[in-house]
Amino acid sequence: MTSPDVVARGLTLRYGRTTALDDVTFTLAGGRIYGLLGRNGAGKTSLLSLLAGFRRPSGGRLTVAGAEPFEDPQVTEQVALVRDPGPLYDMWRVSEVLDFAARMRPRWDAACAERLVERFEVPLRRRVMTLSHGKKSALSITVGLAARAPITAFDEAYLGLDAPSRYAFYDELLADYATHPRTIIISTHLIEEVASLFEEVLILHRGRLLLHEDSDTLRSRGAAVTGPAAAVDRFVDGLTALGERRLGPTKSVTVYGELDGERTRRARAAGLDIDPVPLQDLFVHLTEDDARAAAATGGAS
Amino acid sequence: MPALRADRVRAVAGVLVSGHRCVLGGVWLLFAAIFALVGATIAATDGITTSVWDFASYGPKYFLLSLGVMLSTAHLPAYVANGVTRREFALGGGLFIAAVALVSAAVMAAGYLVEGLIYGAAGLPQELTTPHLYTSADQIGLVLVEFALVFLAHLVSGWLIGTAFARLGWSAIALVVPAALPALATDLAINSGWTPAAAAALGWTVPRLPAGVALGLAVVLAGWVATYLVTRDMPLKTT
Repeated sequence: MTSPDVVARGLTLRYGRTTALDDVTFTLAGGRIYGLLGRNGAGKTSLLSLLAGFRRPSGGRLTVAGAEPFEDPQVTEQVALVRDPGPLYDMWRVSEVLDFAARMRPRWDAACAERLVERFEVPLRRRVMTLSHGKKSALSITVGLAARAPITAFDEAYLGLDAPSRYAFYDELLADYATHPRTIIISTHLIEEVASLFEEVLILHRGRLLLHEDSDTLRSRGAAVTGPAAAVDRFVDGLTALGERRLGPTKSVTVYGELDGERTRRARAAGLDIDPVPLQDLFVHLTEDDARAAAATGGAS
Repeated sequence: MPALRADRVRAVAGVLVSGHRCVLGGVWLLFAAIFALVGATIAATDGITTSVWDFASYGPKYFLLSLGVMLSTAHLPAYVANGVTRREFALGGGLFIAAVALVSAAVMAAGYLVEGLIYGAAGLPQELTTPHLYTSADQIGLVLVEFALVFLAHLVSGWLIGTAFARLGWSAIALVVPAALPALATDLAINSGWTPAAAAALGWTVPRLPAGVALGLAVVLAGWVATYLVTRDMPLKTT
């Protein structure tokens, strides 16, 4: 399966006076796993709703293989947006929901759907309205994965799952991606749980693209420098400090910006520890306030 | 405009039909049972002098109007989320409502036939007391034409009302009367239901065959086109 590129140029979406997306520009190469991060109201769902053809942009362009998704059947059949709880018929039985998706999705994998409902223990004969939140999430995920759409986006779709089921979902997602490579976009708040899956990360903040980077590059942009307070202060002087913690004479400062080999060597010589910053911490620091966000936007593409 | 996928349009219609089979069958059975009971009660008390089934269409046509309301509000988001375009849904939904109207009209005609057999066996007159295109219950062709059009018009009006609410929220309340025009105008055009009496009271002339049927068809088509025009660039909520 080849996955088309997704290209946004000056993408803008307004709901009345509220600007949900503001001049967003990026290119997502096909066949990778993207993390779409942002605080509540950052524009994640708005972006995915444009991708799935739920609405038209107010300005700019969003294209999939060069075509705009809105009302283009060649594009819409290639995009699956998995939401929580998702647009399911409450009155239908689970088996009827799967039959419906099978008729609508040209690449439907019935064996995959069967395996997933078994793994997540979703009862086929039950009506959707009688399912728990978790089982509804599992059904949405099943429909999304079995659709085998070249672009599959999960919009917080698995938040209803309990922790063991979420880990089962991550396993299934990775296994499925390995056998059927395609573009996967994961919008989430549970960043650390899924951070290891991301190949690239996009962070939206107040409707604008804060950054879009390879996840390894992003992680290398931040570092936690820990050691004696005076030595740490001297070392981070001139760097963009995203936050600091102090415990007695020891201080830890999170810095944004790549530390080159010379700086790293100097840190070690000064008795300082350099550790990678968890993606979630980096995200929190970057989106904590607008000044920090502005300081970090040098990496946005 | 991107190419239309005929197989997808058929699939939309097919899923809508299979998803509503039980509900429609149940509703018609319920109405048939109610009218059989009413007929039996009247026969056992005052004695029957007119067709009871003649009044059977009122309930179903308002049920079909409510079914039309659900098309854009309850069904469209699920179809779009599964890769169907609004245009494909409008066309597939059009096939669906046409099928529902035809089958429902056939049920009305079958009801008259069954009632005619029972009345015939009992020596009762199957007299019609409400306005119609037909003058006798055994004019099956006209019975089918009238009810297919009336039911189709109510489905279209319901669809248009539902779409207006889906798009505009409660502001659409101002559009309920214009959106109900296909149903009202078709009743009037083909001399069916209560609108002809209202028209006569106002001194209007009701068109008759074939102009009435042509007018009814035109009104239904206009209602469907209006529904599509409201739907075609309608944003859908994601929460």
